[in-house]
Amino acid sequence: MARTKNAKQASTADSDSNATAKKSEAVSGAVEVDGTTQASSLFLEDAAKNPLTINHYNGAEVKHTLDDAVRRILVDDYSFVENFKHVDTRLLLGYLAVVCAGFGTLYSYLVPFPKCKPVLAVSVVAYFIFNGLMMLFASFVEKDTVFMGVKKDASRIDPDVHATASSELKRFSSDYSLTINISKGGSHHEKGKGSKSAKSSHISLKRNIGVWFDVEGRFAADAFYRDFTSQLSSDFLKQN
Amino acid sequence: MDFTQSLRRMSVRQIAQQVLSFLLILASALMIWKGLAVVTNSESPIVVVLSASMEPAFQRGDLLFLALDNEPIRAGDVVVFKVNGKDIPIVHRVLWLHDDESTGKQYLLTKGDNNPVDDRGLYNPGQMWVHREDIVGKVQGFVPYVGMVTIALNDYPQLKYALVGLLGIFVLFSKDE
Repeated sequence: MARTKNAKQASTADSDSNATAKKSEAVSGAVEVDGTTQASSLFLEDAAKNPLTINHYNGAEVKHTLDDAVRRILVDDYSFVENFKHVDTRLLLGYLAVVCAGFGTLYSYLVPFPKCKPVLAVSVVAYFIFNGLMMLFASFVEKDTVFMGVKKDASRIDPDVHATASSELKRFSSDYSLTINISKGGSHHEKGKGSKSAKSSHISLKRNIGVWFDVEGRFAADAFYRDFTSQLSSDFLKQN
Repeated sequence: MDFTQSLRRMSVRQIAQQVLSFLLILASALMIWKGLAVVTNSESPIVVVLSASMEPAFQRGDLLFLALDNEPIRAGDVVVFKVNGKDIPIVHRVLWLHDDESTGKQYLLTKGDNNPVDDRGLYNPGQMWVHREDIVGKVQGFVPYVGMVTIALNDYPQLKYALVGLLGIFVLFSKDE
Protein backbone atom coordinates (compact mmCIF):
# COMPACT_ATOMS: atom_id res chain seq x y z
CA MET A 1 0.00 0.00 0.00
CA ALA A 2 2.78 2.40 0.97
CA ARG A 3 4.82 1.56 -2.15
CA THR A 4 1.94 2.32 -4.50
CA LYS A 5 1.49 5.67 -2.80
CA ASN A 6 5.15 6.54 -3.26
CA ALA A 7 5.14 5.59 -6.92
CA LYS A 8 2.12 7.81 -7.60
CA GLN A 9 3.65 10.85 -5.90
CA ALA A 10 5.49 12.29 -8.86
CA SER A 11 2.43 12.59 -11.06
CA THR A 12 -0.41 13.65 -8.78
CA ALA A 13 -1.25 17.01 -7.36
CA ASP A 14 -1.64 17.65 -3.62
CA SER A 15 -4.04 15.32 -1.89
CA ASP A 16 -4.49 14.35 1.73
CA SER A 17 -3.34 10.75 1.34
CA ASN A 18 0.01 11.86 -0.04
CA ALA A 19 0.56 14.57 2.55
CA THR A 20 2.83 12.71 4.95
CA ALA A 21 4.93 11.10 2.24
CA LYS A 22 5.40 14.49 0.60
CA LYS A 23 6.43 16.16 3.85
CA SER A 24 9.31 13.79 4.44
CA GLU A 25 10.45 14.20 0.85
CA ALA A 26 10.31 17.95 1.15
CA VAL A 27 12.26 17.96 4.41
CA SER A 28 15.12 15.96 2.95
CA GLY A 29 15.06 18.12 -0.17
CA ALA A 30 15.09 14.96 -2.25
CA VAL A 31 13.29 15.26 -5.53
CA GLU A 32 11.54 12.40 -7.17
CA VAL A 33 11.36 12.76 -10.93
CA ASP A 34 10.32 9.91 -13.22
CA GLY A 35 10.27 7.53 -10.28
CA THR A 36 13.97 7.98 -9.38
CA THR A 37 15.26 10.23 -6.62
CA GLN A 38 17.62 12.91 -7.84
CA ALA A 39 20.01 15.32 -6.16
CA SER A 40 18.49 17.43 -3.39
CA SER A 41 16.98 20.80 -4.13
CA LEU A 42 18.13 23.83 -2.14
CA PHE A 43 14.88 25.53 -3.01
CA LEU A 44 12.79 22.72 -1.53
CA GLU A 45 15.00 22.51 1.56
CA ASP A 46 14.53 26.21 2.17
CA ALA A 47 10.81 25.97 1.48
CA ALA A 48 10.49 23.13 4.00
CA LYS A 49 12.33 25.13 6.67
CA ASN A 50 10.41 28.35 5.97
CA PRO A 51 6.92 27.48 4.83
CA LEU A 52 5.22 30.45 3.26
CA THR A 53 1.71 31.66 3.88
CA ILE A 54 0.58 34.74 2.02
CA ASN A 55 -2.56 36.69 1.32
CA HIS A 56 -3.58 34.81 -1.80
CA TYR A 57 -6.17 37.50 -2.66
CA ASN A 58 -3.39 40.02 -3.17
CA GLY A 59 -2.31 39.57 -6.79
CA ALA A 60 0.90 41.49 -6.31
CA GLU A 61 1.96 39.27 -3.42
CA VAL A 62 1.09 36.09 -5.32
CA LYS A 63 3.05 37.15 -8.39
CA HIS A 64 5.95 38.23 -6.21
CA THR A 65 6.02 34.83 -4.46
CA LEU A 66 5.92 32.89 -7.72
CA ASP A 67 8.49 35.09 -9.47
CA ASP A 68 10.73 34.75 -6.44
CA ALA A 69 10.35 30.96 -6.57
CA VAL A 70 11.37 30.95 -10.23
CA ARG A 71 14.41 33.03 -9.39
CA ARG A 72 15.44 30.87 -6.46
CA ILE A 73 15.06 27.62 -8.40
CA LEU A 74 17.10 28.90 -11.32
CA VAL A 75 19.84 30.31 -9.10
CA ASP A 76 20.00 27.75 -6.28
CA ASP A 77 19.21 24.55 -8.17
CA TYR A 78 20.21 25.24 -11.77
CA SER A 79 23.34 27.32 -11.03
CA PHE A 80 22.29 30.39 -12.95
CA VAL A 81 24.05 33.62 -12.15
CA GLU A 82 21.56 36.47 -12.09
CA ASN A 83 22.17 39.46 -14.31
CA PHE A 84 21.16 42.57 -12.41
CA LYS A 85 21.78 45.16 -15.15
CA HIS A 86 18.13 46.12 -15.65
CA VAL A 87 17.31 46.12 -11.95
CA ASP A 88 20.35 48.23 -11.14
CA THR A 89 19.62 50.73 -13.92
CA ARG A 90 16.07 51.21 -12.67
CA LEU A 91 17.25 51.60 -9.08
CA LEU A 92 19.96 54.05 -10.16
CA LEU A 93 17.53 56.25 -12.09
CA GLY A 94 15.08 56.21 -9.21
CA TYR A 95 17.65 57.10 -6.57
CA LEU A 96 19.09 59.85 -8.79
CA ALA A 97 15.62 61.35 -8.96
CA VAL A 98 15.28 61.16 -5.18
CA VAL A 99 18.72 62.77 -4.70
CA CYS A 100 17.74 65.66 -7.00
CA ALA A 101 14.54 66.17 -5.03
CA GLY A 102 16.36 66.00 -1.71
CA PHE A 103 19.04 68.41 -2.83
CA GLY A 104 16.49 70.92 -4.14
CA THR A 105 14.48 70.75 -0.94
CA LEU A 106 17.54 71.14 1.26
CA TYR A 107 18.83 74.06 -0.80
CA SER A 108 15.51 75.89 -0.65
CA TYR A 109 15.51 75.36 3.11
CA LEU A 110 18.97 76.85 3.56
CA VAL A 111 18.74 79.68 1.03
CA PRO A 112 15.67 81.94 1.37
CA PHE A 113 13.13 82.06 -1.38
CA PRO A 114 13.82 84.43 -4.22
CA LYS A 115 17.54 83.57 -4.27
CA CYS A 116 17.06 79.80 -4.28
CA LYS A 117 14.68 79.83 -7.26
CA PRO A 118 17.14 79.01 -10.08
CA VAL A 119 18.70 76.02 -8.28
CA LEU A 120 15.31 74.84 -7.09
CA ALA A 121 13.84 75.07 -10.59
CA VAL A 122 16.71 72.98 -11.98
CA SER A 123 16.32 70.33 -9.28
CA VAL A 124 12.55 70.08 -9.80
CA VAL A 125 13.01 69.62 -13.56
CA ALA A 126 15.84 67.11 -13.01
CA TYR A 127 13.65 65.15 -10.61
CA PHE A 128 10.83 64.83 -13.13
CA ILE A 129 13.26 63.92 -15.92
CA PHE A 130 14.90 61.11 -13.93
CA ASN A 131 11.56 59.88 -12.64
CA GLY A 132 10.19 59.88 -16.19
CA LEU A 133 13.25 58.05 -17.51
CA MET A 134 12.90 55.44 -14.78
CA MET A 135 9.24 54.85 -15.63
CA LEU A 136 9.96 54.67 -19.37
CA PHE A 137 12.77 52.22 -18.69
CA ALA A 138 10.53 50.02 -16.57
CA SER A 139 7.73 50.09 -19.15
CA PHE A 140 9.66 49.67 -22.39
CA VAL A 141 12.96 48.01 -21.56
CA GLU A 142 12.17 45.82 -18.55
CA LYS A 143 8.51 45.20 -19.42
CA ASP A 144 7.42 42.03 -17.61
CA THR A 145 10.89 40.52 -17.16
CA VAL A 146 11.39 38.99 -13.76
CA PHE A 147 14.75 37.28 -14.15
CA MET A 148 17.77 37.42 -16.44
CA GLY A 149 20.68 35.10 -15.96
CA VAL A 150 23.55 33.08 -17.41
CA LYS A 151 24.62 29.55 -16.71
CA LYS A 152 28.24 28.93 -17.45
CA ASP A 153 29.36 25.41 -18.01
CA ALA A 154 31.81 24.39 -15.26
CA SER A 155 34.10 22.56 -17.65
CA ARG A 156 33.88 25.45 -20.17
CA ILE A 157 33.17 23.01 -22.96
CA ASP A 158 29.50 23.76 -23.63
CA PRO A 159 28.54 27.31 -24.54
CA ASP A 160 26.78 29.55 -22.02
CA VAL A 161 23.06 29.27 -21.52
CA HIS A 162 21.15 32.56 -21.24
CA ALA A 163 17.70 32.65 -19.71
CA THR A 164 15.19 35.47 -19.54
CA ALA A 165 12.05 34.85 -17.54
CA SER A 166 8.98 37.03 -17.83
CA SER A 167 5.67 36.53 -16.09
CA GLU A 168 2.19 37.90 -16.05
CA LEU A 169 -0.64 37.78 -13.53
CA LYS A 170 -3.40 40.10 -14.68
CA ARG A 171 -5.13 42.31 -12.18
CA PHE A 172 -8.29 40.44 -11.21
CA SER A 173 -7.30 37.13 -12.73
CA SER A 174 -5.82 34.06 -11.08
CA ASP A 175 -4.00 32.75 -14.15
CA TYR A 176 -0.25 32.94 -13.86
CA SER A 177 1.66 32.81 -17.09
CA LEU A 178 5.42 32.31 -17.10
CA THR A 179 7.61 32.43 -20.19
CA ILE A 180 11.30 31.66 -20.26
CA ASN A 181 13.42 32.37 -23.30
CA ILE A 182 16.50 30.21 -23.27
CA SER A 183 19.33 30.58 -25.71
CA LYS A 184 22.45 28.56 -25.85
CA GLY A 185 25.68 29.97 -27.23
CA GLY A 186 26.33 33.56 -28.19
CA SER A 187 24.27 36.31 -26.67
CA HIS A 188 20.53 35.92 -26.59
CA HIS A 189 20.26 39.54 -27.65
CA GLU A 190 21.12 38.50 -31.20
CA LYS A 191 18.03 38.53 -33.34
CA GLY A 192 17.35 36.95 -36.70
CA LYS A 193 20.64 36.18 -38.34
CA GLY A 194 22.57 35.00 -35.35
CA SER A 195 25.59 32.76 -35.28
CA LYS A 196 24.87 29.28 -36.51
CA SER A 197 25.76 27.76 -33.18
CA ALA A 198 23.19 29.85 -31.26
CA LYS A 199 20.10 27.87 -30.38
CA SER A 200 17.08 29.26 -28.63
CA SER A 201 14.08 27.71 -27.07
CA HIS A 202 10.98 28.79 -25.33
CA ILE A 203 9.44 27.47 -22.14
CA SER A 204 5.99 28.37 -21.03
CA LEU A 205 3.99 27.57 -17.92
CA LYS A 206 0.37 28.70 -17.62
CA ARG A 207 -1.62 27.65 -14.60
CA ASN A 208 -4.31 28.86 -12.30
CA ILE A 209 -2.61 29.84 -9.05
CA GLY A 210 -5.05 27.61 -7.22
CA VAL A 211 -2.78 24.65 -7.99
CA TRP A 212 0.01 26.20 -5.93
CA PHE A 213 -1.82 27.95 -3.09
CA ASP A 214 -4.41 26.47 -0.79
CA VAL A 215 -7.41 28.31 0.68
CA GLU A 216 -5.35 29.45 3.68
CA GLY A 217 -2.75 30.99 1.36
CA ARG A 218 -0.08 28.37 2.04
CA PHE A 219 2.37 28.04 -0.81
CA ALA A 220 2.91 24.50 -2.05
CA ALA A 221 6.55 24.88 -3.00
CA ASP A 222 6.93 21.25 -4.01
CA ALA A 223 3.96 21.42 -6.41
CA PHE A 224 5.37 24.54 -8.01
CA TYR A 225 8.82 22.99 -8.19
CA ARG A 226 7.45 19.95 -9.97
CA ASP A 227 5.37 21.94 -12.44
CA PHE A 228 8.22 24.30 -13.20
CA THR A 229 11.08 21.83 -13.51
CA SER A 230 9.05 19.41 -15.61
CA GLN A 231 8.97 22.16 -18.27
CA LEU A 232 12.73 22.59 -18.27
CA SER A 233 14.03 20.28 -20.96
CA SER A 234 17.12 18.30 -20.05
CA ASP A 235 18.59 19.22 -23.44
CA PHE A 236 19.48 22.70 -22.24
CA LEU A 237 19.71 22.39 -18.55
CA LYS A 238 21.28 19.99 -16.17
CA GLN A 239 20.30 20.39 -12.57
CA ASN A 240 23.39 21.44 -10.58
CA MET B 1 2.97 36.95 4.93
CA ASP B 2 3.59 39.47 7.69
CA PHE B 3 5.99 42.35 7.49
CA THR B 4 8.96 40.88 9.39
CA GLN B 5 8.78 37.58 7.52
CA SER B 6 8.69 39.30 4.15
CA LEU B 7 11.58 41.54 5.14
CA ARG B 8 13.81 38.58 5.94
CA ARG B 9 13.09 36.94 2.63
CA MET B 10 13.96 40.03 0.58
CA SER B 11 17.31 40.54 -1.06
CA VAL B 12 19.19 43.83 -0.72
CA ARG B 13 17.91 44.98 -4.11
CA GLN B 14 14.32 44.16 -3.25
CA ILE B 15 14.57 46.14 -0.01
CA ALA B 16 16.18 48.99 -1.97
CA GLN B 17 13.24 48.90 -4.37
CA GLN B 18 10.69 49.12 -1.53
CA VAL B 19 12.56 52.00 0.09
CA LEU B 20 12.76 53.71 -3.30
CA SER B 21 9.00 53.41 -3.82
CA PHE B 22 8.39 55.10 -0.49
CA LEU B 23 10.95 57.85 -1.15
CA LEU B 24 9.49 58.50 -4.60
CA ILE B 25 6.09 59.19 -3.07
CA LEU B 26 7.64 61.72 -0.68
CA ALA B 27 9.79 63.23 -3.41
CA SER B 28 6.86 63.59 -5.81
CA ALA B 29 4.79 65.45 -3.23
CA LEU B 30 7.70 67.75 -2.36
CA MET B 31 8.63 68.44 -5.96
CA ILE B 32 5.07 69.25 -6.94
CA TRP B 33 4.90 71.74 -4.06
CA LYS B 34 8.29 73.30 -4.84
CA GLY B 35 7.53 73.29 -8.56
CA LEU B 36 4.35 75.20 -7.85
CA ALA B 37 6.35 77.66 -5.75
CA VAL B 38 8.79 78.25 -8.61
CA VAL B 39 6.02 78.70 -11.19
CA THR B 40 3.98 81.11 -9.07
CA ASN B 41 7.10 82.91 -7.85
CA SER B 42 5.74 82.66 -4.33
CA GLU B 43 7.46 80.88 -1.43
CA SER B 44 4.27 79.28 -0.16
CA PRO B 45 1.79 79.15 -3.00
CA ILE B 46 -1.14 77.77 -0.97
CA VAL B 47 -2.03 79.13 2.48
CA VAL B 48 -4.89 78.77 4.95
CA VAL B 49 -6.73 81.73 6.45
CA LEU B 50 -6.33 81.48 10.25
CA SER B 51 -8.12 84.59 11.53
CA ALA B 52 -11.33 86.45 10.88
CA SER B 53 -9.57 89.71 10.03
CA MET B 54 -10.57 89.64 6.36
CA GLU B 55 -14.25 88.88 6.75
CA PRO B 56 -16.57 88.96 4.86
CA ALA B 57 -14.19 88.38 1.94
CA PHE B 58 -12.23 85.47 3.49
CA GLN B 59 -13.37 83.27 6.34
CA ARG B 60 -11.28 81.20 8.72
CA GLY B 61 -10.47 77.92 6.99
CA ASP B 62 -10.41 79.22 3.42
CA LEU B 63 -7.60 78.04 1.16
CA LEU B 64 -5.83 80.83 -0.75
CA PHE B 65 -3.84 80.51 -3.98
CA LEU B 66 -0.94 82.95 -4.27
CA ALA B 67 1.30 84.18 -7.04
CA LEU B 68 3.68 87.07 -7.39
CA ASP B 69 4.20 88.64 -10.78
CA ASN B 70 6.61 91.40 -11.73
CA GLU B 71 3.94 94.08 -11.82
CA PRO B 72 4.02 96.71 -9.05
CA ILE B 73 1.65 96.10 -6.16
CA ARG B 74 -1.49 98.27 -6.22
CA ALA B 75 -3.75 99.64 -3.49
CA GLY B 76 -6.64 97.26 -3.03
CA ASP B 77 -4.58 94.10 -3.73
CA VAL B 78 -5.02 91.41 -1.12
CA VAL B 79 -1.53 90.20 -0.24
CA VAL B 80 0.06 87.70 2.11
CA PHE B 81 3.12 89.09 3.85
CA LYS B 82 5.45 88.24 6.67
CA VAL B 83 6.69 90.76 9.20
CA ASN B 84 10.48 90.56 9.36
CA GLY B 85 11.45 88.26 12.23
CA LYS B 86 7.99 86.76 12.74
CA ASP B 87 7.13 83.59 10.84
CA ILE B 88 3.34 83.71 10.73
CA PRO B 89 2.18 85.08 7.39
CA ILE B 90 -0.66 87.61 7.43
CA VAL B 91 -3.27 88.04 4.73
CA HIS B 92 -4.58 91.62 4.53
CA ARG B 93 -5.38 94.27 1.94
CA VAL B 94 -2.97 97.01 0.79
CA LEU B 95 -4.47 100.29 1.96
CA TRP B 96 -1.99 102.93 0.80
CA LEU B 97 1.31 102.81 -0.92
CA HIS B 98 4.12 105.11 -1.96
CA ASP B 99 6.44 104.37 -4.87
CA ASP B 100 9.89 105.83 -4.75
CA GLU B 101 10.17 107.31 -8.24
CA SER B 102 13.93 106.87 -8.59
CA THR B 103 14.44 103.40 -7.12
CA GLY B 104 10.96 101.98 -7.70
CA LYS B 105 10.90 100.75 -4.11
CA GLN B 106 7.37 100.36 -2.81
CA TYR B 107 6.24 101.37 0.68
CA LEU B 108 3.07 99.56 1.58
CA LEU B 109 0.56 99.94 4.40
CA THR B 110 -1.80 97.05 4.99
CA LYS B 111 -5.04 96.59 6.95
CA GLY B 112 -7.41 93.71 7.52
CA ASP B 113 -10.90 94.48 6.15
CA ASN B 114 -12.46 93.43 9.42
CA ASN B 115 -9.96 95.24 11.67
CA PRO B 116 -10.67 98.68 13.10
CA VAL B 117 -7.08 99.90 12.63
CA ASP B 118 -4.26 99.46 10.15
CA ASP B 119 -1.43 96.96 10.65
CA ARG B 120 1.19 99.30 12.10
CA GLY B 121 0.46 97.66 15.45
CA LEU B 122 1.48 94.33 13.95
CA TYR B 123 4.71 95.54 12.37
CA ASN B 124 8.01 95.63 14.27
CA PRO B 125 8.53 98.54 16.69
CA GLY B 126 9.41 101.65 14.65
CA GLN B 127 8.40 99.99 11.36
CA MET B 128 5.82 102.00 9.39
CA TRP B 129 5.75 100.18 6.08
CA VAL B 130 6.24 96.79 4.52
CA HIS B 131 8.08 96.27 1.28
CA ARG B 132 8.00 93.94 -1.68
CA GLU B 133 10.59 91.62 -0.06
CA ASP B 134 8.13 90.94 2.76
CA ILE B 135 5.33 89.96 0.40
CA VAL B 136 4.84 86.21 -0.04
CA GLY B 137 2.30 86.65 -2.84
CA LYS B 138 -0.88 88.28 -4.10
CA VAL B 139 -4.11 86.34 -3.65
CA GLN B 140 -5.24 85.04 -7.04
CA GLY B 141 -8.15 82.86 -5.94
CA PHE B 142 -9.55 80.85 -3.08
CA VAL B 143 -11.44 77.70 -2.13
CA PRO B 144 -13.71 77.95 0.94
CA TYR B 145 -13.73 75.55 3.94
CA VAL B 146 -11.01 73.15 2.68
CA GLY B 147 -8.39 74.64 4.99
CA MET B 148 -10.36 73.58 8.09
CA VAL B 149 -8.45 70.27 8.06
CA THR B 150 -5.12 72.09 8.50
CA ILE B 151 -6.57 74.19 11.31
CA ALA B 152 -7.84 71.07 13.09
CA LEU B 153 -4.43 69.40 12.73
CA ASN B 154 -2.74 72.48 14.19
CA ASP B 155 -5.10 72.90 17.10
CA TYR B 156 -5.03 69.23 18.01
CA PRO B 157 -1.49 67.94 17.39
CA GLN B 158 -2.49 64.41 18.46
CA LEU B 159 -4.50 64.24 15.22
CA LYS B 160 -1.33 64.84 13.23
CA TYR B 161 0.54 61.97 14.90
CA ALA B 162 -2.48 59.67 14.62
CA LEU B 163 -2.81 60.40 10.90
CA VAL B 164 0.90 59.83 10.14
CA GLY B 165 0.87 56.67 12.27
CA LEU B 166 -2.14 55.28 10.41
CA LEU B 167 -0.57 56.03 7.03
CA GLY B 168 2.66 54.32 8.08
CA ILE B 169 0.88 51.16 9.24
CA PHE B 170 -1.14 51.07 6.03
CA VAL B 171 1.96 51.32 3.82
CA LEU B 172 3.88 48.68 5.80
CA PHE B 173 1.16 46.07 5.67
CA SER B 174 0.03 46.35 2.10
CA LYS B 175 2.23 45.66 -0.89
CA ASP B 176 2.14 48.13 -3.75
CA GLU B 177 1.19 47.01 -7.27
